[in-house]
Amino acid sequence: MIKLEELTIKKFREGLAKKEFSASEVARLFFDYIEVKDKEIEAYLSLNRDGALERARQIDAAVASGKEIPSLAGVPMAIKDVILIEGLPATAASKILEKYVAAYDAGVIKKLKAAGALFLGKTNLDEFAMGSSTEQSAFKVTRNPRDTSLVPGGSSGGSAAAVAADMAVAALGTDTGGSVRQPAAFCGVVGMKPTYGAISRYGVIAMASSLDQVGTFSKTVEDAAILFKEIAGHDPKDATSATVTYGDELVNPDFHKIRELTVGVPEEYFIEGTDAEIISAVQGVMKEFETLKIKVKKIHLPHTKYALSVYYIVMPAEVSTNLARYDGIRYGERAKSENLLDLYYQDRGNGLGLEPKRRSILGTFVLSAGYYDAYYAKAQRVRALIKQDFDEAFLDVDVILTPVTPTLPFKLGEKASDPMQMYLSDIFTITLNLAGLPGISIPVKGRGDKLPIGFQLIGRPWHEADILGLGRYYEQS
Amino acid sequence: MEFDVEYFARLARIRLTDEEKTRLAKELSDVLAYVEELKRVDTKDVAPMTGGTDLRNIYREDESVRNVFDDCGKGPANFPDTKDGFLKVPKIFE
Repeated sequence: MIKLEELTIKKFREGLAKKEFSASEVARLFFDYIEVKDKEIEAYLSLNRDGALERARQIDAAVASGKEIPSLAGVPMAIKDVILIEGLPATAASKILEKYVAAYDAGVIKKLKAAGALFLGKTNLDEFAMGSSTEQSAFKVTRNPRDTSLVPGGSSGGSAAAVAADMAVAALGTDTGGSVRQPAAFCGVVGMKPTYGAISRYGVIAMASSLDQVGTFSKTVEDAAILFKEIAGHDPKDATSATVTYGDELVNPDFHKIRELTVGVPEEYFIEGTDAEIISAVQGVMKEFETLKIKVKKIHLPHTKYALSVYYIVMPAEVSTNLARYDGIRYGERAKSENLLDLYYQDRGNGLGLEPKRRSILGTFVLSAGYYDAYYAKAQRVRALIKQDFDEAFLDVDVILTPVTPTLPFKLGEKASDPMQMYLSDIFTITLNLAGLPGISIPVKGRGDKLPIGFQLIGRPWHEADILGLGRYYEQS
Repeated sequence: MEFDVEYFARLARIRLTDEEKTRLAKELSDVLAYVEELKRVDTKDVAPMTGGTDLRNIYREDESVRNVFDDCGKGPANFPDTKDGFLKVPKIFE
């Protein structure tokens, strides 16, 4: 008897190798379960039944013939609907891309296909990955599997909910200001955003190009490491993707070295307005580190308080340029109109939701002549100071520990009408995107039936092995 | 400051309903009021961070990798209007 709730990438791999089950059997079980469960959760926008079952048959044939199978062979995954898979829809949860079918595979999908993964379907998100609750999708509202009256977080809420509800073994999302880590914390799964440039962004529908990174959702930190190892690496089609190579320590950490890491705890992340339960849970993690003989020390990141302001200038500026391509000319339905200008107004006015409109207009403003220096150029300078804070802190410590979110998962509808309140839910995660650093959200242990809380480990650039290693040490202890 | 939503929406080529105009004018004024705090930060002699990375420019030989007239992949399948395999666009000049 296969228990979907117990399947991790690691267990799936072992079970498949020992022929305890076939890839086809597991894929069919997932689709059967999704059919029932997703009526309640609404994590998926579209399913890839035929493609996934065909892939499963190929994997089973390879296993039967005794061939060596790749590391993610047959692993059932969910993919956020901003990542292109050739021949499948990629809507970004926007009306303007409702009928768009991906013409090619994203770089990260090419890597997953080479590793044998199968794709169950495409998951819901806030339109164009803009939001923190997955309520701002043009198509449906996803619910938190831990309590369906609550939001799953966002923008990658569909991917987080799919993994948390056992409707996928693992998933991909994207993270521009916390869109992987915040929903991971809200749904009680592991979510990692790697260093900027670690994973190819080719074929990922762009929101803010200097902040966007692909990230992973999984049930364990070990799975996050396995998945990241497969999808990291240079892609000539993404000029910002780095040529860094990661070693075996990602998946096989040396716990002697991990025990010698120094963990910094920044005072600026334990501020008034943060839920007391979250502060005490993260302090509990800090105490557990100390019990495990890991050195913990207080640090300061003085420019943290300006991060939200910097983010809400830099991000919309990049949004306004990236979303300029959605003009009704090359994709989607074209309005009937007298002239080209009117066509733009109509197609963008009808096709884009309120949040993409809000950000495009704000971005147009901060980049406009007369305001550029006061807003955009100023924000870029303060962004440099935020990064400098981290550079200085990392002279002293190896890893930084913080909360992921200031609040527990909130009610559906609670913040939907107040953009400033919604933006504040990313306050502890956006600093990493501004500084380009890797971060992982890991569920605090021992919460039982209580709502999940996540803690965040932040590493030096390209030192994912530190946060994954320490995370696994915590997970296993 | 009062946000001139109509002007910047026009620059962004977005048509708004009256209801959206009222709502966004207020919300965007609120966001601008919030980010005012950046004026207090001393950024004298601080170089702007212009991207997400410190990586350097990447160059390659200026050679054509693929002739898109021979093979434009599956992109055209998404075109709203075509003629002879090309994307048909509305008239620009009279």
